Amino acid sequence: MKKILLTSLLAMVAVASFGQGLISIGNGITATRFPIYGPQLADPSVQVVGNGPLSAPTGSTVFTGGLLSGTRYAIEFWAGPASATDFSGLTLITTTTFRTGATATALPNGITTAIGGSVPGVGADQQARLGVRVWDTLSGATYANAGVRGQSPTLFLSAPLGGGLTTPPNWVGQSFSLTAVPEPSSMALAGIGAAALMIFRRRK
Amino acid sequence: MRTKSLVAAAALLAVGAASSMAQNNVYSLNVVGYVNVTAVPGFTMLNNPLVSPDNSVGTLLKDDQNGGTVPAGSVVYKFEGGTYVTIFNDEFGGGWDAGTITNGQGFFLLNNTASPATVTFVGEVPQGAVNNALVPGFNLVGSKVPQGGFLDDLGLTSTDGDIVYKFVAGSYNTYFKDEFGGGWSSSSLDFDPVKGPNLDVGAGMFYFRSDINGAATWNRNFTVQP
Repeated sequence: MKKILLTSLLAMVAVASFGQGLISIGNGITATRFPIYGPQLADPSVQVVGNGPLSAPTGSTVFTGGLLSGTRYAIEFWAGPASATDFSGLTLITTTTFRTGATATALPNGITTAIGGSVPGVGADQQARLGVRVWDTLSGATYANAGVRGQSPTLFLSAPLGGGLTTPPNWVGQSFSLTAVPEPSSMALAGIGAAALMIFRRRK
Repeated sequence: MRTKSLVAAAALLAVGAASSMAQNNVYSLNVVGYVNVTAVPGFTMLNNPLVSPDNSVGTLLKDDQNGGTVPAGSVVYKFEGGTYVTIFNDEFGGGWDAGTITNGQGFFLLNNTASPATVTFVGEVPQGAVNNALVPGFNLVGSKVPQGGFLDDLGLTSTDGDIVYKFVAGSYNTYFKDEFGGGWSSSSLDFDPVKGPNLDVGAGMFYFRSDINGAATWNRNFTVQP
């Protein structure tokens, strides 16, 4: 009985001692790798999602856009309580850029260096909802106004966060490709071109 | 965790067993010492850096109601086979439950008081070839000899993709060994990009080896200079 009481007391002490749950942040951590790719070559407006051969665990999804590389691309890591259903329920944890490899088609391109961090509002041993946002900084200074961007189509649930006696879990997610959002001016030009083509064909 | 002292100079020279006195003089140099570490209120991740006669928790961690310094009511958490093994200390002077902590085995000590406590390991300094097995996954371990330093200096040959977790001030500091040859990285400062994290005397750590890297052995050849 005494041990049960003691264990309960210690559990309360442990919970009180560790406010924020810990997590290893990055998309290139051992066993949980999900590289991010550029827009698909055939149709840049379509986002492809899934794990490819370079992901961990591996998958069969084909990405043709090439792995993102260097400081040109920014990636935001968002996290929040398990009850969150979209990005509005998450908090921005950190923003970083991509590593640079020897070639544009091989790791470590497409992934970031891993760091440790915490998730505000989610305690140790609780699960967190996770998502990432990525964009080409040449197309916009922020994700909101970037023309080439992409985000996790679905949010992922982490393992119980670290703190107390639990070691921090790795960030989990899924590979995806960016999409190129057509600019209004280019869409207008395309419309004019199509109209001109119609007129030309009618005259013929 | 602050390490207050290393190995005492108490060296016991056990000279000559009866059988060895006949023709050749064979000398056995056994170095007995102690290591003091501080257990902060709450959890402290420790490691037994010495060899004691039976490795029992009762011998290693004498509580303050039985001639030691560890607060009565403390709890030891070992990590064996992927799960925690708990060993309780009776807060009314009944001592520790049965259990052992082997040389080089890491563990959490829960100091259930509001004040730091000194933990004194007493035993023999391991010498010669010593080794610590590392399985794929999480290992709660520490140096088998009473010496602090970077992991590489302590003889641990790390592999790309390995991860170290140190428990400091109530949370984990994480150190990543880059999978692609980029060395060690961490948001903490107590590491070397080539040699890895620094580990204090008597400190424990979680050492994660990925399944890809497989099992390994932390080999060390250690000699106390006379």
